[in-house]
Amino acid sequence: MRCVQEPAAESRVKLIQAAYEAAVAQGRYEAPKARRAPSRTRLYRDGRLTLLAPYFDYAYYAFENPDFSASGLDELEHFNFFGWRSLRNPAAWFDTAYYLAGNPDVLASGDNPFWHYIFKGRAEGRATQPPRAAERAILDALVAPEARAAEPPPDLPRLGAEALAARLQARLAGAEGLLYCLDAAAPAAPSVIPGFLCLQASPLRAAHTLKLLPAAWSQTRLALDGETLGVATDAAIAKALDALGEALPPRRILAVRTLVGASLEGLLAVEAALAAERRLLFLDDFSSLCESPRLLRNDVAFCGAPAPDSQGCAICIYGESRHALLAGLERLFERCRFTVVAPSAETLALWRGATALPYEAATVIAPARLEDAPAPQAVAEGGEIGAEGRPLRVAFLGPPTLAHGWPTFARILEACGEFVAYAFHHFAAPEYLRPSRNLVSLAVEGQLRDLLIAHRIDLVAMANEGCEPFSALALEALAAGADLVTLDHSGHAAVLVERERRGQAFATDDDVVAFFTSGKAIAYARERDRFPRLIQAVRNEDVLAALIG
Amino acid sequence: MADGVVAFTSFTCAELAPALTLARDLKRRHPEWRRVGVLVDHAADGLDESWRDAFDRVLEAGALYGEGWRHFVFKHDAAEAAAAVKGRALLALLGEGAEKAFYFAPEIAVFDALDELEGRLDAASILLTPHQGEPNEAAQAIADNEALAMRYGVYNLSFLGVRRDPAGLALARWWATRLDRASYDAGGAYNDQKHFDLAPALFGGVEVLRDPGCHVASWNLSRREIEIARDGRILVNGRFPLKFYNFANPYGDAAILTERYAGRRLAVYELAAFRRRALAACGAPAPGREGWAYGRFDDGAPIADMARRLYRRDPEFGARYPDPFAAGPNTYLAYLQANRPDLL
Repeated sequence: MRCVQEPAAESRVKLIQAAYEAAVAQGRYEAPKARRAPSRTRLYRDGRLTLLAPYFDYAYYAFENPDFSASGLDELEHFNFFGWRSLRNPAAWFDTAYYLAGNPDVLASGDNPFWHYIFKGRAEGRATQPPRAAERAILDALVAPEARAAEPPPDLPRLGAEALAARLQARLAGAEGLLYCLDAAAPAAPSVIPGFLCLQASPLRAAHTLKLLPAAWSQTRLALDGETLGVATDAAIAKALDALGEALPPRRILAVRTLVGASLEGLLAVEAALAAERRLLFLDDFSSLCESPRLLRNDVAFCGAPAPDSQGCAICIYGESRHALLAGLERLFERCRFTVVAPSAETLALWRGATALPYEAATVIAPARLEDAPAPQAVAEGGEIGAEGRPLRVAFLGPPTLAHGWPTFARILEACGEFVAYAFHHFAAPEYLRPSRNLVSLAVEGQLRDLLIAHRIDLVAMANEGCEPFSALALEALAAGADLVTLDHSGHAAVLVERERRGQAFATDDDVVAFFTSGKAIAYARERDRFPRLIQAVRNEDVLAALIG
Repeated sequence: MADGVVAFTSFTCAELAPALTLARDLKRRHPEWRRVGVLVDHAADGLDESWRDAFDRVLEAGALYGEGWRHFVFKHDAAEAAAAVKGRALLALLGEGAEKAFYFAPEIAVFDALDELEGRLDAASILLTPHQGEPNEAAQAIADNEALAMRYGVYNLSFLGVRRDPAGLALARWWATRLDRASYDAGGAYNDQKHFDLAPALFGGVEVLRDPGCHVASWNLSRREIEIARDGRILVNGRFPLKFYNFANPYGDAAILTERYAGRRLAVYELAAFRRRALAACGAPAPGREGWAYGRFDDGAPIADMARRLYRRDPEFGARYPDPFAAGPNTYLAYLQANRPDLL
């Protein structure tokens, strides 16, 4: 049933949440049961392969094993004759090496292990992959930050202090101000502040935060108002600024967007030479708390930045270097007395709760917000969500990493991909797509919001394990009329769920998966579908311009 | 030796990395304790000896036995020998004046201060940690864990705490005596554990540590849930701080049991990864290529297990060949060459 009259947005989300909670309390939800007919009905001379074909993930196998086509066989034949013997996997959820290692009887039999699982092992409850496989693969490959390989130097001109000063002087004439902005990479659209030149500085990452390199060794990539200048050492930058002296504009601002890759000595040297009137430290990430900018202990679990002498830090790959980092941060903050700029009150609260670093002031400015589109489009569909022909459309956005919540999405896909009640999508840059059975992979070119609208996505799964202070993807999803399913500690996505009441946030990834397997996701989407979809626009804010201008 | 608390471990050169890591754990948590390493080996020529600095003292196991050492140690393989010397080492340390002594096997990692354990020895004479601290429910868990405890002993002797009082000294004497044979007597390296099933009956002042944060291991993960709280504490069963974890599993495949009972509890895998990193980074020298010093006859020929078993089974060999490692005429090796070449 649909409401004929659309209520105001605020009351609408309250109605949806209340109706969903009532549905759950009254048990008005059920786990999906109806499975879709196998999309592959290939027939093989070997009848066993014909029987196996409905379970085999052709798309996954072809993507992971592009060499199969040279054999003249199709994917399943290749796997059956060669693939499993070289420990290739027939689907993302089946680890051939693990299955053989854990089942010596299968190994001894010489049988295709996937065949064994589908027709025997599954009924016996045998495991197809290690628990926490994605996380354990990361744990096995952890490298201490100080031992990580340095970024190869870019093919850019090297600038000495004199040359840099000359380049700057030529552009500085008449400028009212100079913004020295330290960031991980030069943004596609540098801040535009009337009367200001923006000198964008991106450290060549020698792996870890506030690395203890002398200013004469730490190298920084420079761009001026978007035009790449070259690479200079921090000592050369400081010397150039010193040499410019009176030629420097009267207003000078230091903005630190991230400390990832920065050199403490280099930053202090530049700060001293710049003699900035304001020093801004942005909480775009948590690099001012830990070397893990999203506070991922061992790159696998959100930690919340506990005390550096805690047991959690003691077993973390970032724990040992955190002591040196915090000592460096103390020096930096004592000297700079930053104004701390957070994208949300929640981010600022997390940061304040985890550090006693001194600062001048703190402010919250959202880099973007939702606003009503000039002509909101109400997209209506027939049919009940979860029924044949109207699946609940669930999307994952961006790179398939743990930090973005891919392992959780993969579990949802594995558990629910066969049900007609669901349709799963992956939207990302082409290099991030991972084709697989029951997953529609879509390369993002152009506006993500418009793609999500076009594919009528209902829910976006953002079980980000790391804490993301600001998520443009989450805002795009909401603007497209989709709601979010996230973790309490995911950062901005969870903040949006709380503020906008658009979606659900859970304590654990298991809870997120259960939301889908239990059918509660369908119950939620049905309540939501009683109202026309709200399409909005994302309005970006130039925070630097707002602060300085 | 000054009075106070002594923590000791026993190891061969193949176990230098875990022993060194343990010593550093203990130094970090309890710098006031004396750390004693009992080396059941001879360091190969040229081996970097700086690892000894992690200990306040390194005892050569042979010194605990005097002239009978070579006769004694020949009857053990490396793992058996490292276990066999624990009793005499304890007795010696208490005899030298230690008020409280803790034994930790090298495979143990200490994650928290152990003041509470030290305090418990003010009242108790003997502290033991059970393999299982509460009943299992699933049939598989009972088979994997409780049956194991029934076979190898109720208590795991990778940890032991003893106070120097009459009951503690009596236990140390009893243990040292039993270990003269117990380490191999019934065909396994862990039979001294089975003897300890008797300890609560034989001695007063025995306290069984039921704190689930003590001695977490693959064999009790079925009843111990580990998590890392937001404040950074590693907790067992929701509220008990993790004190020490045993990363070994001498009874089977630790990886399989860990996976079976840890399931999706990520903290367990983080601990395991941390342990691998700690061992790799501890800086322990690699043991010599020759292997265990007591694994070869004096002429360099390897000693087969069957040759050891034959020697320990028949006391007449011990009487006839008091130094069984010797090579040359009229030695145990010569006997084997002449009569049992199949054991060489």
